Amino acid sequence: MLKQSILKTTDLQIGYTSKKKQLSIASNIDIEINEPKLICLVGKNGIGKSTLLRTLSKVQQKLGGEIDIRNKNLELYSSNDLSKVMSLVLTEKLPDSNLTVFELIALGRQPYTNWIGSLSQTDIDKVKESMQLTNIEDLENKKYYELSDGQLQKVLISRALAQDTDIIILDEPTAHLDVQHKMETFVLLKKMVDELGKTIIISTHEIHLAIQSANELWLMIDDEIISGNPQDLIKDKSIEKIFSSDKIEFDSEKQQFTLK
Amino acid sequence: MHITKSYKTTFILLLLLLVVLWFLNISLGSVSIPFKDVFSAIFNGEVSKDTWQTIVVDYRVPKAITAILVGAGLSISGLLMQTLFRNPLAGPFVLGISSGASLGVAILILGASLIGGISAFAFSSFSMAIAASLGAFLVLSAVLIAASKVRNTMSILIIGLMFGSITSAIISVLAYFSSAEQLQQFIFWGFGSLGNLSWNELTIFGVIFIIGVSLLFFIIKPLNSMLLGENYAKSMGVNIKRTRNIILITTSILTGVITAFSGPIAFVGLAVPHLTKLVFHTSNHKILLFAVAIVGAILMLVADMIAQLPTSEYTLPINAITSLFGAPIVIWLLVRTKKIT
Repeated sequence: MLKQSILKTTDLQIGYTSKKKQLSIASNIDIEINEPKLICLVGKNGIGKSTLLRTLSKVQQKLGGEIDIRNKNLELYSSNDLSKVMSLVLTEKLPDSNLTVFELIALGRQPYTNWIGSLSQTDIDKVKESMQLTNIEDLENKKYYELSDGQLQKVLISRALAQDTDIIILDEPTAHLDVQHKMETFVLLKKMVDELGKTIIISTHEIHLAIQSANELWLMIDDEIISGNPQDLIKDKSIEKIFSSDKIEFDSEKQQFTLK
Repeated sequence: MHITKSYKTTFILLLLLLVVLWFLNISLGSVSIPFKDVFSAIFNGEVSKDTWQTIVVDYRVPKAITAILVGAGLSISGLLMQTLFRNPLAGPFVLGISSGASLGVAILILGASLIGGISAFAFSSFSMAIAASLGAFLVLSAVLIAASKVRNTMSILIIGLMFGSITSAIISVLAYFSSAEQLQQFIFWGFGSLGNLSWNELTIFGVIFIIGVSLLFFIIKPLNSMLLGENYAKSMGVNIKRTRNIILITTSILTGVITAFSGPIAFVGLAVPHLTKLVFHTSNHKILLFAVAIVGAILMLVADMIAQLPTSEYTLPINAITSLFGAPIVIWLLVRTKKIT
């Protein structure tokens, strides 16, 4: 029997295409996910974390290699099929609109609704459920532009949850949040993995929090991606390769980078 | 209540208002005709004077219907542009689409003298509609291509304005080389007019309008997910290319046919979606598309009533009225709400 794989890349090359030139950002990426996990993608600015996530979610075209989602080539997915397998939380600012929190989350049900987008009872239940899980039921009727950054992030995660997919990809979900909301977000994501069996891939700069909560780290460095259990990566000193500056070092006691 | 409000009462009230205004619009004009006779003229009753019958049936009713089609169509186009470009200040006029339609008509009316011999064909209303739609399509495609290169919403508006300038310049050049008679014809067309449509022309207008609007039913759902931006929409299974093409075609058809038959009418497309959102606090296109159509139609009927200056023999150009009222409304909106959606 075919091994159950959730996500697998073979010799993947990512980057940008413009006119005739290809600008490769990273290549020879071989990663594999076989069971539900919280995966934190870490690496310095500009190394290509967002590009990798955008390529995995088909927002951006890959330059070479293969991506398989649930043993099926990503190229073979229609956008409608893919929307039932993978949902996204992006960093981009939402355009202005009058959407309420409920309506915004309900948009996550679009892959399942009829041609005009009417919500069935199941859809409404799913939306309610995901609001309960992210603890934002009291925001239901607010306009989304009235929310704080922390609340909006929960709403966007809730929308991804309502889309009812096995895989959720989040690009820097904690970027604009204070410490409390950063930690809450990690706790929430961990809960989604443990209780709902989701596979969650996030990019983050919160290395300390990532080490504490992730099942697996993907260290993105200049010529490769090293994946593994956080503690293993600390032990074999791989984690120190993230930054090349001689002014900082990794303190394995505190499990974070400090100034020398 | 957590589900989107359906705004049933508001819709019924607005529809009632529309019907009342429609009758009022027909009752007003340079010749004063009593309500009773207007009513019987419409419903095939006895009319005191034969001329009144003609005025109401062959002039005023077509004009009032034209007003409704123009107002509804431009408003729908404006809403589509605002959603597509994620820009509250987008509209068929601002983005140069109306100018594109004008260019199509200009080439037809003014260019006819350069080519010669085809004028009979050129001035048929059907060919005007096609030329205008093609012009609108051309400019909108150009703006869309340019928009894909720049992310900044302000730049997109400026690009639209530039395309508008280019088409105006080409029209000026064409005008320079045309005869006085053709120029006059073109300038009168440019003032905008809801009248002068025969029942035959109105039928063509109506059929093309309905074709354009019916395409919208395919994209109500994708339009809603576009509210979160294209990347989110795509991740929710929306076929972006198809949606964008349908918006492109619908807007070109609507703006094109309206411009061909009534001249370039400014500000309705930009202002009506915002006015509508003052009443309908929603972004759901299932509600908004109908709402802007009704509000647009109401506004156009009112604008037309102002234009015909009740009790006077003069009729002002409709384009002047929509600009006189539309521009301040937009400024007021920008100042009042700061954040417009």
